Amino acid sequence: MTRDTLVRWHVWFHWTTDQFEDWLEAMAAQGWHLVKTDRWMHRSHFRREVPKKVRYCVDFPGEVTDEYYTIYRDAGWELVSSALGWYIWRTEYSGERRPELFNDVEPLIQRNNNLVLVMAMALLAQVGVFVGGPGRWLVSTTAGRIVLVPYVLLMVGLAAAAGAALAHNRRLKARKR
Amino acid sequence: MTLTDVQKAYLPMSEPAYYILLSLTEARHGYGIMQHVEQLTGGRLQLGPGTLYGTLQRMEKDGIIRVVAEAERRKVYAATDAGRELLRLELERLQELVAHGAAALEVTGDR
Repeated sequence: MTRDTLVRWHVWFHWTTDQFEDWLEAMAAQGWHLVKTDRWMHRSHFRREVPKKVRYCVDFPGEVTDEYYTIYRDAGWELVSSALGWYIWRTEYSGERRPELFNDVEPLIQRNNNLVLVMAMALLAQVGVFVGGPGRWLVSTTAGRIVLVPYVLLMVGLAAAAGAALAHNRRLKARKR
Repeated sequence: MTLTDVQKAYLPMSEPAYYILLSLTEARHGYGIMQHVEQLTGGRLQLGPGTLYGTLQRMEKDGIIRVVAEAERRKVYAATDAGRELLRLELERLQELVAHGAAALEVTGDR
């Protein structure tokens, strides 16, 4: 007996939405169609149907009015899931032209740049922490060393996230060509 | 002549923004704009709903377009006088670009 439902985790971030979209599209091409998501959209529930060519797009529109839903639906997109201001839309397509929510990737690049800026400033602020008193406390006392480990991990995580966001921008720019 | 801040923010216009505003020289709702632009450009320019929604929100906020009616949860928009003025400025800019390009390539006007 073959199963006709499937639950899969796919953890994604602001700057890896394109990889999440590609993954959902690849699942649909194998006949696994997204039914819903939970766990802040990191877990996806699929149902097996006929394989189809489906474009999935993750959107973060900011302010949402009735017009938002109307315009997207009129354009032929179906809302599959939404949480915390994020929306997953899909539309079936055929041929080479892959449907997009946006005509140019400039807004997405700008969104990433804003994120990188915030992360860079958070990292720079830490220089101030170390030059000032807390730096000595962090390395010279036992309590300080206990705090130091998660603190350093957090900073490494921030730096990695900033790098990933810049890599996303390179992928977006490549798509434009 | 000096440009207002809004005009500075919009010029030069992106192709989607230009065609959206151009469509609103007549009253249209979102889907009507999409269809009109696709028809006008022979299918070359298909407006993404994200681009359309974002542009309409921004243009309405900046007083470039306004809502003139609402039917079946669809807002009907039209360009304001400021919007028409913006289009005129952009058209002037484009005409200059075309004139310079044509001169450089020695393309005759009737081609």
